[in-house]
Amino acid sequence: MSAADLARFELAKRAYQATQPTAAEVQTGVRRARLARRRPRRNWFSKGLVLVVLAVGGMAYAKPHAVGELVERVLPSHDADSSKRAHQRPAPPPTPAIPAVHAAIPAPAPNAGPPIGPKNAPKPAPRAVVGKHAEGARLAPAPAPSIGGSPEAGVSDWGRVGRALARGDDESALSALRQLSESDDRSTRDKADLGRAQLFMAHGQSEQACALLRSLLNRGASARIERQAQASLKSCAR
Amino acid sequence: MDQSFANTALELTAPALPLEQPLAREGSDELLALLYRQMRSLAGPRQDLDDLVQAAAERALKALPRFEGRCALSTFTYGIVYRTLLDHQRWYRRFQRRFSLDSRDEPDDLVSSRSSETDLRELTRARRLYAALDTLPQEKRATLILHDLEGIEVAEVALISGANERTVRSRLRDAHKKLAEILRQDPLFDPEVPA
Repeated sequence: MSAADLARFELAKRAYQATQPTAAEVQTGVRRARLARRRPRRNWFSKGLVLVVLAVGGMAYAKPHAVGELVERVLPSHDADSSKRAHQRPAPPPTPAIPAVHAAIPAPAPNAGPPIGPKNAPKPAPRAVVGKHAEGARLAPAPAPSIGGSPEAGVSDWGRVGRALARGDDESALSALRQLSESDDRSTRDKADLGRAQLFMAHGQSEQACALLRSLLNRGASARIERQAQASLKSCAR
Repeated sequence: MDQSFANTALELTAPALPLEQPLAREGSDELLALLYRQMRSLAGPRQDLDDLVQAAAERALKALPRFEGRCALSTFTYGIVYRTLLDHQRWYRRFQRRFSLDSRDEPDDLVSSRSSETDLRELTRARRLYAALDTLPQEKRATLILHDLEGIEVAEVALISGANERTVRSRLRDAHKKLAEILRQDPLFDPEVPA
């Protein structure tokens, strides 16, 4: 380095030293740093929030109806809880022991009930109860469910459908849905018909399913139901 | 001075004594002031200086119990400040590949309470100096600041940066070369011009 360069560095050093922080500036910086240190750190909160948002977002992206299904799955159990609570009131009607019945049947995943159609008959039935239904094969007009006066007496119609599906008892679910499809409320009727169509479809009875879906489209159901009906009808065309 | 301060800081920041106690607070304030000065020298005036000081303070308070007094406390804290700054720069470079924050790109403006012509010239020179230093790679920039501007010995700079003394000298040589090139083109640093 030449002498001129050294002189330049000397100038630079002088300028650097002239702009060093004053005691007041340091104190202000220290105060700010101290204040920041006192703030409680809530890393877990932001991490948890990110995880929840990612989980819900991922679920909504992968399966758009999953959130709705989740809510529907939670709601029937809520109904069941409230009915249980109703049973526990001081003067309950004499009811058979519900817990015992439920304990005898291993709890299935709600949508994992083994199908009844002949196509699926060879599959090993996980439960004896369902095995009997599998022998009966067809989803013929279901016998009137012996629900009246049964443990499900206090349960709403949709609750009955939900319980039947949870048990894998699709016949009872269908008959409950059929009752619902005769309801005065148009929205309930449409929902019940859509449910029936989807159940028929699941059991390979596409003719009945398609007829129901077409009638749903013809009668002009709500947009959401119509969308689902159209989506299901695509498999009819194939 | 350093050693006694080290002992005080060690005693005051020991886990048995919470920082909220008045004495501990005094000690932590001294440590924060030291870290602030060191970070200000290494990083220069910038908008995220407080964040950097805070990050360095957290590291320093965590690391203090491991300080064995083999070197001066200021060397120890300089090491922490150096690593914090480099880590931050590395993170920020990655961040800048995706996003750009215009406000951060500009360094915090230097201020001076004095306003004579000489002072203003010094201020302008300092701005240009920081702009020139910003063109150097981080390690070389820090080495030059520590050795030339802060007057720290090469051996100590090597300790701070965790590098070999030869590496430090090599970095210094490169930094001198590049800085001299920049300053040569700046009339404000012309030694012939009267101050």
